[in-house]
Amino acid sequence: MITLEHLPSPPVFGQVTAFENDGRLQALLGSEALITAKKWLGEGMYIEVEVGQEPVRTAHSKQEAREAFYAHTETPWQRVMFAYYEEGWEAAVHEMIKCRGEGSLHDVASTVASLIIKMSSLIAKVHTLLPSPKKIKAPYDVAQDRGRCDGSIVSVAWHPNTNTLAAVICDDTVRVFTAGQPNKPILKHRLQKSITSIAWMPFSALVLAVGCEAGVLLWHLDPVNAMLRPSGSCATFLPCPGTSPITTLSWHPRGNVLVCAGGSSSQVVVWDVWREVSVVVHSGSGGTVTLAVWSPDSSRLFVAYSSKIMRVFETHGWNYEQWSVDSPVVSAVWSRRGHLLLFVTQEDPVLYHLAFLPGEGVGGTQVAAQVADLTQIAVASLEGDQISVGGAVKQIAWDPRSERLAVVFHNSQLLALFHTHTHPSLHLAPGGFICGEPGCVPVTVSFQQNLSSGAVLSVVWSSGKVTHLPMRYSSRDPLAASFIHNTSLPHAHSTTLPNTSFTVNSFFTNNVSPISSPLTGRLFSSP
Amino acid sequence: MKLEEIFLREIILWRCMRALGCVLLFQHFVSMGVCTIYRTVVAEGVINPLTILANLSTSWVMPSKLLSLTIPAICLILLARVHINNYAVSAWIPMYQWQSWRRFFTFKVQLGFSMIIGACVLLASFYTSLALPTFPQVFVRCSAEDVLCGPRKMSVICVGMFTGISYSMKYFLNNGNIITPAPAHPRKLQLIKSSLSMQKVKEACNTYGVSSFSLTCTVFLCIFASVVMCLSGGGSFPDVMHILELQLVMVVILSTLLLVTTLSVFSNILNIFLSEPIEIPLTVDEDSTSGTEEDSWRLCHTLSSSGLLQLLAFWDLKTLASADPRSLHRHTQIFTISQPGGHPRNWLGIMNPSLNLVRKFTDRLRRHNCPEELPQEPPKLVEATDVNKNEVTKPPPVPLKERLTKIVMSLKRYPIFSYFLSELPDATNRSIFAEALPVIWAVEALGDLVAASFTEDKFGIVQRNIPDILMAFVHLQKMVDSVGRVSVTRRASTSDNCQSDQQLRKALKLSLRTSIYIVTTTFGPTVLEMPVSGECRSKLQSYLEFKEA
Repeated sequence: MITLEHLPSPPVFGQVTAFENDGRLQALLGSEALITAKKWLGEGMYIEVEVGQEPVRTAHSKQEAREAFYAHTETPWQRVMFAYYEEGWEAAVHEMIKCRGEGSLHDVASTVASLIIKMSSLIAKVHTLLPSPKKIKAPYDVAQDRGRCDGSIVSVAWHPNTNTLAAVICDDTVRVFTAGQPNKPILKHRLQKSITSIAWMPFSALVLAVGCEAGVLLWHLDPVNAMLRPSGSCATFLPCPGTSPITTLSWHPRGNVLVCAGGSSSQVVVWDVWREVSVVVHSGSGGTVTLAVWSPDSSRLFVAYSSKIMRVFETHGWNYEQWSVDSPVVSAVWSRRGHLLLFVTQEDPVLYHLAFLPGEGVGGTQVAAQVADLTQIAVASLEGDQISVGGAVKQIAWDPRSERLAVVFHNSQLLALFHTHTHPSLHLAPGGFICGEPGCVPVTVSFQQNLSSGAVLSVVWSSGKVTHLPMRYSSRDPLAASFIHNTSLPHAHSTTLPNTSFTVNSFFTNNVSPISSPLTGRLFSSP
Repeated sequence: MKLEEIFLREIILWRCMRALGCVLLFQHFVSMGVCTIYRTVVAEGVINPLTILANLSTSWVMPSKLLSLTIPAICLILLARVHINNYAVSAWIPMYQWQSWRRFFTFKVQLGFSMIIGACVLLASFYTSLALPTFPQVFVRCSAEDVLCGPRKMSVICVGMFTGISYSMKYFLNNGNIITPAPAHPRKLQLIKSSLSMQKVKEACNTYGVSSFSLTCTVFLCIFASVVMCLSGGGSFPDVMHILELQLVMVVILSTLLLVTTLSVFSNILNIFLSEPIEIPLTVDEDSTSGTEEDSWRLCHTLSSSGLLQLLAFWDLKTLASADPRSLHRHTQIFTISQPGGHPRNWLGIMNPSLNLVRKFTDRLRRHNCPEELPQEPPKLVEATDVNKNEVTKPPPVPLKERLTKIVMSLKRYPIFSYFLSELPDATNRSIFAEALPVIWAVEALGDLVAASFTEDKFGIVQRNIPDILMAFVHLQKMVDSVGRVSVTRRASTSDNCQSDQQLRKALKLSLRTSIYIVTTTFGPTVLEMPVSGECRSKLQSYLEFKEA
């Protein structure tokens, strides 16, 4: 089994990891690294994720435009009737209160209405004392990251088909960065509070799902005339009373269906976002759903819970298989063909994998195999300084070709990178450590999705900066080419890392045994 | 035999039976359980858990109690009959206000109304008698000594009628009869479980007008009516005071809540069972003899049918067109050719009805919104006129239809008539979009199949139809985009109708874009070399650049 000790030494102090060329990570000074990344990706295609100091529009006030056009010639009773027609009983009662001073009968009605409002507010106060899912803190603790990210970017998400990146900012806004676009839209909505996850809709120009406290907001942006501050009318709200606050959301690979979960329930809700219709596909024991990931072939859905279980559903009849784990799963990724699942748990510094057989049912192996030992170690840099790395894992990310795997640790300045290939079986090989500027800790990572060759890893650092790390490698998987043609935008918007004159690495073949055989353990059991 | 008849006989009736069984089971355990607990705790004042449990178990297994289930069974059969005869797959949008009134007064709707109201009254009476056995059933004659029997019956009948009318109004006039498949199909037990939440019960209460306000009003009205009846019938003041007992109010509220819950559960369960997906055979055998039921029960035929069968057929098509590995076997059958003969029967059997549906829908939209784009009718013969364009021949007599139109136009000047006779805003477009669901699924399925053909179509059978499909998509998108924004009505009562077609309109736009994106993403710039119109080509170019939103 591969361990962190197999990885080559991190760069010297003061240098940051700039790129990967055929299996070898190269480090340069900060400014040089940025210049090199821009050169590799192309000036027009490099997205500089910077958050300016523009004043963000405040939340929508309750005053509506129609009040400016209010027909004041209507009698009080007409106003009450119209309020009832338009907004129901509550609005009618409020309207009735406004009728005071327009006659004795109106005064009586107004008094009765104000009594009703007082009673209902009293009932509402009693209701707030009862336990409510909304008051339960989301397991995905954004606040913790916010404190560390110093008031800037919390996480990023790449569009699956285009060169567009969405960044979640600490102040509950989302910024959209598109290569070659000067405008960087700011998405803000009065319902968009405590953002927990974002996801781009596949096969769409610019449709972004934002999971937050109230539910899911779907932003429909115009790719041609990108407005700097799209209005609230560009957003569709999908209310999820049973699953708010949203903890996780994941798009069906085709893009027509969205799965979301959250709140105190263990409900998994599937939304037909086009028709705005939802259905609960599973509800039962297990605690809060913390993570849901749809497999790329759309046949399975991985769901992790706050308790020590995880489930994989087959998405035809929504039957599932369940695995028991020693501690809750924190992050999981599917391989590009959907036959392998890698995951890490909260406490075990071990990378596990589950294999799935094609055919009816879930078809998962009974026991998860350990593929990498991520126990904390002290590694020596090229200068000989000792740096601690490993331990509890925060996030894992796999590139769309399933050839590079990035691992983010809690309280570690270094990211671990593994080289992987999944055909005919899963193999991991050491890639190296990715290092940022001194004192910066990686918060979250995301791979660019629309590349036809190589990979680009975007890393959000605790300083709030986002760096892009280009990786140029030749695919080892014979099926990779067909995959690219099928799923990842081969013709239109894919970007190719340009050929450069960097030397080809010989480390991979000389230094370390490249392949580790996965070990199996009895930590997991299928029911 | 017609496909719809086979569908009704083989699938719908059987599903309806199973749904009825489920509701009856729910009825037996939940309603009887709640009523038994009420009777033991509230009426008899026993709070010993053992006694409650004993009473509960007795009520569930006692033969006499089981026999009493015949009343709800009859009610549910009545309700099921109404639902089977009146379900719809698309929202009904009236063109004029008078059409709503006309629909209300049709024999079919009135029959449905009376059956639902009758079932509701019987059920309300049944629940009341379960909760308090001293309460008489509505069909049992009151004894002469029991002065309170009549008023009590009156209360129960009022509550049953009120709920029945609310349910019928929603069902017949506010599109409560629409059956729509869910976006995902987990086990039915899961769907039923999620439809039994308190949230759903609360929603049902609001939907059927059983809010706390209306319930309180109804109860007090009933009591008022009972008091009047009692006093007018020679009852004494103590009798009247006896009517105003708390128990009556509580039992009436309990039975109303149970009735509303039963109606909601019945409606949900029937929807779950009826909208369950079906898998229809795809392959057409070469040596099969035409005309038999088995031969007609093929996907290509069901796609051209109507109603729920067509909707489920398009759902099945959408499922098998997706890249799900489980539908791989059926998926690969689409791209096969017949042996001997080499005809792409399966593909054509799917493509033709789907594309026809898309084209017909486009034509309907075009006919209403862009009539100038339609082929022009040949001009009429020039009438005989003199040099000053004055008619020289006697004008033909004005037909009756035109006279009626004129009368209607003149009546529209008066507010009361204009309310009934004026066309509702955007009604035609709304009624067209209300039927867009099978079109959306056809678009999705065709998009997925065209994309799959890139790697799976070994014989190139799909290739030559791709330009037609893309042109149909682009034309439909143009028409959908050209239809103006929906006008928002002020009346809250029409909001439900509004939402259904508006959402389908939006869904159609999005599904068209996604499908074209899938095709352009898969084929790349090759799509520009296909024989398509210039307008279509420029659209595809913008899709290739991901500039369409």
